[in-house]
Amino acid sequence: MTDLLSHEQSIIEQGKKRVENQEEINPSDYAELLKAYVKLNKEQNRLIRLSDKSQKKLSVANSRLANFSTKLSKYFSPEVYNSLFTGELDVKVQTQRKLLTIFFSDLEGFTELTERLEPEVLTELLTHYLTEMSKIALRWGGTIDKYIGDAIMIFYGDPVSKGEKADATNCVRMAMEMIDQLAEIRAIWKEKGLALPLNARMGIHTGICTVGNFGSENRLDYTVIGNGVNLASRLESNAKPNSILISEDTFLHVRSDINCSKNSTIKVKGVSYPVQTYKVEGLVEEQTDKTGYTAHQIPGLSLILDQNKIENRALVRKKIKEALDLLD
Amino acid sequence: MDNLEISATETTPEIKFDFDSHYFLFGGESYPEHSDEFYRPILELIQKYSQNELESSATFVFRLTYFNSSSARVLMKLFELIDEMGENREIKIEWHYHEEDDTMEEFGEDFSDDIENANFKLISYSDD
Repeated sequence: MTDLLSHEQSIIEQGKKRVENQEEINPSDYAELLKAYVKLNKEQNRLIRLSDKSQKKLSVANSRLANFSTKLSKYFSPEVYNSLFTGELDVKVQTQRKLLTIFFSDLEGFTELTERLEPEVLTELLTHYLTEMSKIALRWGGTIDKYIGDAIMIFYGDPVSKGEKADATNCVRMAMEMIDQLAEIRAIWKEKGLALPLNARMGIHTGICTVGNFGSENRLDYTVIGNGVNLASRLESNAKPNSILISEDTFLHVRSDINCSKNSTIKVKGVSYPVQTYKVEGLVEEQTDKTGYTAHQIPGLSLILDQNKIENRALVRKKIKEALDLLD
Repeated sequence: MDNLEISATETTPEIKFDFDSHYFLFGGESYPEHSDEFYRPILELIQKYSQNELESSATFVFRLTYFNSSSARVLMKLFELIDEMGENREIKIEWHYHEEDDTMEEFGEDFSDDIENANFKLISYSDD
């Protein structure tokens, strides 16, 4: 604002000339100079005060924002939270069709647990279980969609995708780690006197879904909808305790890394054909390393041979021979 | 003189000059990117008013919620002009601040120290 200081500027210029020419300064000029100096000094002090106050306000606002962000982040999956904060994800009703891998899990007999346990104990148990499961989900890059009581819904492929195969594989590996972790949780709670064992069922399906912000302009929910979600949920309810049941679509993505055994077909509402299911058995490299154990999953053949579990060797030979005869 | 009405934007305040009733209002936030460009014509208008309307009494109302350093400098210049106007006519200045906004209250008090020839009133308001 040079205009605002033009008067002071002209006084400075006059003063410079007089000093250069070694002119005498008369008292009235000196008084004017002093007045301008006092004014500038006052302005300077005021602006410094304003700047300090603004800085203080900014720092208070920043710390409130940081505090709020930390609280807010607990309500979102980190992938969603980051996408919101970087502006990649718009806060408006917006959806897209995408190939996702959907995971569902549920605790067997949880309803009975809720009736048997005191609410405080139930809260502690649920918090423990969900915290541990979430940690695993986040480590494997999953987007936690929601918790519905003891049920967990997670998906892979949005807002960040590592590729269809990696997304599906990471999802299955997450589920496998969850099953292992659940054994530890089960032991801890058994020690605490929990009469019923904690057993989880898990279902995974890979398919085209609609993902994004659903709801109204005032209340949005970042989630997934579609037949794929129903299918993953149906796989979960068909899984045996502490096992992972996956659809053929997921199996085709993960079969080079994960051994699976062919399971029954299931009928799902909204899907016209019977869905072939597979039970997750373990990692490919893990199983071939074991002595007396071999597992292969190739189109047309599901083979898992574990010598340690064989009770009737003759029967096993007979079944393998029958299978070989079929090939001839 | 023609009345002036400028609507508030995200960075500039609402400005209303009603020359018929000699009422001047500045309200909102002020942190324009180019404060010189924004305020120069406004200051010139007040300067012109002060030269034309030598005897009319006038009221200046400030209801600001935030201003940056360059806007503060403009305000200081503006108060200087208003105070000069007050040498030969009745001038009222109303500085409105939110009851919880200590910063705006303190700045009002601060600016009032420079005013010798006008009636400077600090007025607090609440959300109701």
